[in-house]
Amino acid sequence: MNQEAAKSDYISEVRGPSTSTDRQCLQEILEGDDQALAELYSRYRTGVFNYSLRILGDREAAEDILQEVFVAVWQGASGFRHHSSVKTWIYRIAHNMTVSWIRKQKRITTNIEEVPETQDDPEEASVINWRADEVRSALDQLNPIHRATVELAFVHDLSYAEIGEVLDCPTGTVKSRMSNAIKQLRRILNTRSGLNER
Amino acid sequence: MKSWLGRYMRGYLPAYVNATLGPVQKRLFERWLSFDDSLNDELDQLAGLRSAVQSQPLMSPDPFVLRRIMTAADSGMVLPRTTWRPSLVWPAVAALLVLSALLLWRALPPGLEISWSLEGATPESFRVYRAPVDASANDDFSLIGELPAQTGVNRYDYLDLRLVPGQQFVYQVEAVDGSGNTVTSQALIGNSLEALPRQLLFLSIFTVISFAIWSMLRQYRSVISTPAHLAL
Repeated sequence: MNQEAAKSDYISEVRGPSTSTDRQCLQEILEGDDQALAELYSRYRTGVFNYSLRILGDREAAEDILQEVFVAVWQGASGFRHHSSVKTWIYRIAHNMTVSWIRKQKRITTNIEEVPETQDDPEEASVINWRADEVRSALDQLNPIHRATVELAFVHDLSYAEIGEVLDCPTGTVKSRMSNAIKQLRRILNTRSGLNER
Repeated sequence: MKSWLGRYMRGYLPAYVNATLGPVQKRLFERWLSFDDSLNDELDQLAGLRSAVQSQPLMSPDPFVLRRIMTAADSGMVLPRTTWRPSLVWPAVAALLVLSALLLWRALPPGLEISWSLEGATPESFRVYRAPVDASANDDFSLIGELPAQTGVNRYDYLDLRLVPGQQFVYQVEAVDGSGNTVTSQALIGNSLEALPRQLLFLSIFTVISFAIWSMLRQYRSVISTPAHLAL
């Protein structure tokens, strides 16, 4: 599939099929209808695949995780609690599997708490239009949890509460992780632009 | 105040940028935005950052992934879990709690235990009476329990749960035979404070057990709501 097709898939995911339709799919999956699984897969494959891929940077692993996510959806449809949307549920599964994969590879070297806090002074914050390729490269330097938070907020347009459901943490934690991730991105980008760190 | 509120509002910038703020928060945020220039600058910067994040190339998975999923689903190796599983959880939890309480009750009776042993013929039943320790007349004794005697059993006990903190009581046990004849035991004094350590221990251990069961249930729910073997 080319990038355009992936984009069109993804746009339909972001705009979102109605939640009830997703839930209908899950109901049909519970009745053993594998076509409903294929339907759900077609809605979320691009988002889930790119989510894992960007955090792991490993195409094969991201494909394995995509496969495991939808096998888990097939297996665990009855475990879906109707407190959240199907979308956040699927992303939560994807996130758990992605983090598990990282742990297996022992690639997490930086704990979230170890990320140094910076005090932004808004009065001194300079407005810079960073180049997209610089931002993409800076994103790769974020730790997985910060990267996940940024991806879920800016790419998948989830609210803080939904991100909290995916990452299994309180909304306040999401807010501070998002804030730390942005500070870190700014620091990386400003350093590259030759500015002093704030 | 302004600085604290500014920092608070700044935390909601990303949510404002991705349009996920609720109507009330959005209104408040826009109000703040109307007079905080630095926040406006950051908003522009963040919107640019978001566009850059969104501009990452989108990749597509290999079509073979779907085939592998469908093969796994069709092969019956993985079947959708049936819906009865979660509904069994709550009765199981309730049964576990009751069982723990019963075992704990046996191990640490949370009251004053009155014990007596039987010598001679087995009566039909026993009546347990209680009176405040300062009672002067027999009339102050009130019947608090009755239990049948059992052939071959010569040791009995009764657990008094209706205690008053700090209050001492006098207990008497009366053996009643089939003809209504009675034999009364010697009086025994019991202090409700004697039961306090056991009551506290009972409550503490039961709280710990309940918490452990709740944690296990949480773990179970996490396992069934996210794929098994991969729950964080």
